[in-house]
Amino acid sequence: MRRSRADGDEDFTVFATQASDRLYRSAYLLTTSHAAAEDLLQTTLVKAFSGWRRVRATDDPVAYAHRILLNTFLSERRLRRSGELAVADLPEIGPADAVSGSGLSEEVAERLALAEALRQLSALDRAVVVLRFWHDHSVAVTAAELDLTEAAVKNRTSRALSRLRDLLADDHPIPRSTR
Amino acid sequence: MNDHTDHSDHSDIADRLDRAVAGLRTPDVLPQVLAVGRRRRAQRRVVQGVGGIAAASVLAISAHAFADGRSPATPSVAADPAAPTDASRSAGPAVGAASSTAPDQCPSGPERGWWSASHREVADRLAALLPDGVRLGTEERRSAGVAGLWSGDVLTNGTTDADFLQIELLPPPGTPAPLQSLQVVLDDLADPDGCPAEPNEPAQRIAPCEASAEPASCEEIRSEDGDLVGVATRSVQGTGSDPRATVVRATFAVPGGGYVQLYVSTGTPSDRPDTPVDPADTPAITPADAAAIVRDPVWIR
Repeated sequence: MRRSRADGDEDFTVFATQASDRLYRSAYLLTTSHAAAEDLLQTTLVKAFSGWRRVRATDDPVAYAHRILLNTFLSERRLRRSGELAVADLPEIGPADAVSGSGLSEEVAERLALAEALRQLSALDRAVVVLRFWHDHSVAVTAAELDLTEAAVKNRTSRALSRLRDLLADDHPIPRSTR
Repeated sequence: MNDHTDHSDHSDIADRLDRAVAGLRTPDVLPQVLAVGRRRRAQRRVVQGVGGIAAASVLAISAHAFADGRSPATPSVAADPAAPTDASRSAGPAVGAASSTAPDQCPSGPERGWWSASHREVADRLAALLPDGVRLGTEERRSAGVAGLWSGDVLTNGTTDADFLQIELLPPPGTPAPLQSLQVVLDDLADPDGCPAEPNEPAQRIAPCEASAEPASCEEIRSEDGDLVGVATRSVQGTGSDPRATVVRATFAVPGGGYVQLYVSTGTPSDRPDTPVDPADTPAITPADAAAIVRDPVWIR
């Protein structure tokens, strides 16, 4: 039976509600900014809504939405890099970060330190780190997602991790866990 | 040799990434997504309807150049929403797909009506209807210039508190929403959905308050004949232990079809997601205010 567009809209609303948390967090790690992450989330969901039948028909709509998000991020970074405006990404502190007289909360301070470190990486290196270590993708999957060779993913991973460790060594060092 | 590509050696990085985002509160972008998405779908149908890719190219080139402030370039067109949007990676197959769509399958353009009031008109009317002491603040970039829609901050005089507000004029069922101004996005010009009628369903269904257990506050809007023609509610998003924001919604069914719908939230882009939610904070617009705004005849004149 042919489903109506209204049914599809309801499906989409449910999907967006369930997927938004993970999409937003991924967007934050990629953009390192709340405002940019919100923008990226919104653009991603608008694209998913526009092509909802196609998205819904895939085996994994959430994974498909992540691909939209990733490609949008990389496309926008490319456009910005080739454009006339060179806008520096400034560290972002939300209003709540400064409310306490004793300074930033540990959680927020750690987040800002990581965001600042990630910001020092190229967009593609950042994407590699996020896919490999937050999405827990294999080298092969990461390579396919980013249209890179596996060797390129390994090289970028090595370079990015080395840089991250240097950047985070003094300020909020990465604790050694045994996860 | 220390192989930095060995995932098992880097659980510390994974932990750090997890912790960094664990406390993030996701902004509620759904009202804007639905409003912008509807217009984008309508735009896609219009582009198909006006004669295929030739017209689309003209529209895309002019809009793209206008939006970016640079010289017209080859438009990027991709049927796949997951496809990259830059010209270097967008391929041509979607052009063929768009061309193959029979132009007369789709509406040739949006019917105009009260719902196609210009963006400026919507903002001016809304500003005039706000309660005393409340005014419009910064507008959301994504809604700028979009007909039948305004979204952004509302400010309460004498305080630094801002709320997010969106008002949307929804056309009658089957009528395409007004065009998205010049923010033309042709990523998915080839519509895999064909041209089904746009239902233009409101985000909040109009039902008697007694039938809705969730809202903390609910007001019915009734016509002079006593018919239920709208509803205004206030509710808290999230759970009791993790309140996200207090939200006021109002929906009014316009005689003859279509809706005026209003969404107000205590969270704004500038104070989320790090700002702790104050459950006692309520939007500057009450459900009664919201009901008065959406049912005002100024929207359908």
